[in-house]
Amino acid sequence: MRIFRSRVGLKIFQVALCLALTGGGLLAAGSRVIGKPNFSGRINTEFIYHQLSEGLPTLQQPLPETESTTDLQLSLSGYTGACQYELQVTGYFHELLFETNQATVSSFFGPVLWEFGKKDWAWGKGLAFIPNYPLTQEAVYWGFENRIILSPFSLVAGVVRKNSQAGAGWLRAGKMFETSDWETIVSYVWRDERCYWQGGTEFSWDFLNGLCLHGGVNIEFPERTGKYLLGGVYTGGIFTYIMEYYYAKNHYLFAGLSREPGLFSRWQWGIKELFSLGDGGMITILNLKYLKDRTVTPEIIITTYGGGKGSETQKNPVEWECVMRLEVKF
Amino acid sequence: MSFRLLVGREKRGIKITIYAFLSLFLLCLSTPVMGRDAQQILEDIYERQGLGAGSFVLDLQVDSVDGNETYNAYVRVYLHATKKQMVTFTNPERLTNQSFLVIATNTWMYQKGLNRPLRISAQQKLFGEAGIAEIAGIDYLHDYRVAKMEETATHYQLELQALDKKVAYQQAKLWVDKDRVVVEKIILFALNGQPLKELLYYNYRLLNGHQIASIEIRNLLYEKAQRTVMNYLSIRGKELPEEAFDPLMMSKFQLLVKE
Repeated sequence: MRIFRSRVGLKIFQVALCLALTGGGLLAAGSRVIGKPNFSGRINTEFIYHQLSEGLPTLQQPLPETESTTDLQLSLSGYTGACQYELQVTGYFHELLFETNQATVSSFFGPVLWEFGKKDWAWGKGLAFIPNYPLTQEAVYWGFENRIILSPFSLVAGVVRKNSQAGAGWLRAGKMFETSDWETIVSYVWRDERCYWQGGTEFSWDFLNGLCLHGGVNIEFPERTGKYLLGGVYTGGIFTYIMEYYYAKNHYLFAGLSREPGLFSRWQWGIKELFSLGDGGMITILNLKYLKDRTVTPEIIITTYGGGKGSETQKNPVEWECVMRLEVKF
Repeated sequence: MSFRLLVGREKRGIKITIYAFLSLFLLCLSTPVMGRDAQQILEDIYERQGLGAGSFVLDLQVDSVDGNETYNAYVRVYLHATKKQMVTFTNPERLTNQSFLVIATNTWMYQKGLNRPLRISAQQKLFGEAGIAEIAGIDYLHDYRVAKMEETATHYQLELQALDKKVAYQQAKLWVDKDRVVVEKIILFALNGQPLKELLYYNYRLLNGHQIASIEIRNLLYEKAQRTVMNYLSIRGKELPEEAFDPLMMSKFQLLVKE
């Protein structure tokens, strides 16, 4: 993986990407079938109120008491021949910033699917935390991934990079059973001038009585530091209960209670708590969303930061914040 | 030996023996006749439904009725020959980026913003009173055995027992119309015999050669005033690759099935 640190390596990588694009284009031209592109968008407007901690000097306040943000997300996807393309961009008006969230091309041959481009490549079973994903969740990277399905087995190989300073490659082998599935992962990571291997396993299991468990363990070499996750989701008649314990340099507990709207309900609400078991810190998130209208969705999210004295969350300059969000789809 | 030449006690003994054999003979005949008929009924219904062999794409309209209010949604089910199923939505708009994959007793949900599939319980209430099992279809012929059959003037009443403990509904009771040999009512039970759901079948018709009905589903445990009605809009045969029915491929399902 040191090739990505040198200019030669970078050139080789870029040539490989070009060849993949050209090959994909030839495949697409060969089948001469073009599908109608699918275009959609959404405008997200938020009004945010921060309740700042008392006693904080005005000049040291890192955030304004109120702020508003608007972003526009556009998505374009379609098929050309045996290839699918997906493009998603977001413009942040308040920051005059424009980002590409996804620009990928994918295709398949028999049981093999490949995907190339820029996107969030996150995978894993955890809800609040994924122990085996080697990079930052919700961050986008350039990369390439191959998936082979020979039911009940699967094999995934991928390599992604953000720049010469950050990237990873992984190999995942999985098997599906009657009510569970298991996966073994090996990955190589380079980040902040460190290179290391890590390996682990993940699983999910349905007990067929409303309870599903999931979890994973990851060990980094050569330091032999570990990350662990054990979680469960119980689906009752009306409510859904979630609990996850995970360890990554510190112990955390995540708990949630929600009422999912299903197909016909109008309201969706949830309560989430994140506890830092090490220092007693606590973050509480309440959300309420109204779903009746197909295009306009209002939502309110209240987040409080609290917990034991001396905890990291207590040092947060924001005591609580309220976000009123309006999403319009078109 | 002539029957007339036998003395009284011997005659009685032989009569008893003949009656015993006759009864035993009729009993042996009746038991397999009853079992075969029940099985034949289920096979006949299964044949006329015509979803046993091959892959299909089914479009359904799902209506939730709560008092005077009715909400509707449009669902597309991709049914593979191996009975793996992908449930997608064409309406409402907010659910068109969600899909549910059902492989035997495993269920996964994929949502575009999440970028990865998550396992969910098959009990998750998604379609009003209809769960994933009802939308995906319950196979009464292959997943159940006939425990008992009764006959009234108008109906056959079949009591079914699930063959596998992993099946969502462990017991089912079917009411089959004798004249048309179609299901009119089903009650689904839990393992302990508690009735969970009632399904009413009506408006039987042919749709592209498949015999289908409108299905009304009512929850017998709670929210009893609410009901969900499923109507089939179209059924078409389509070659579907088995690789598409895997959690790892959920984000690329439309690409793999070429729709």
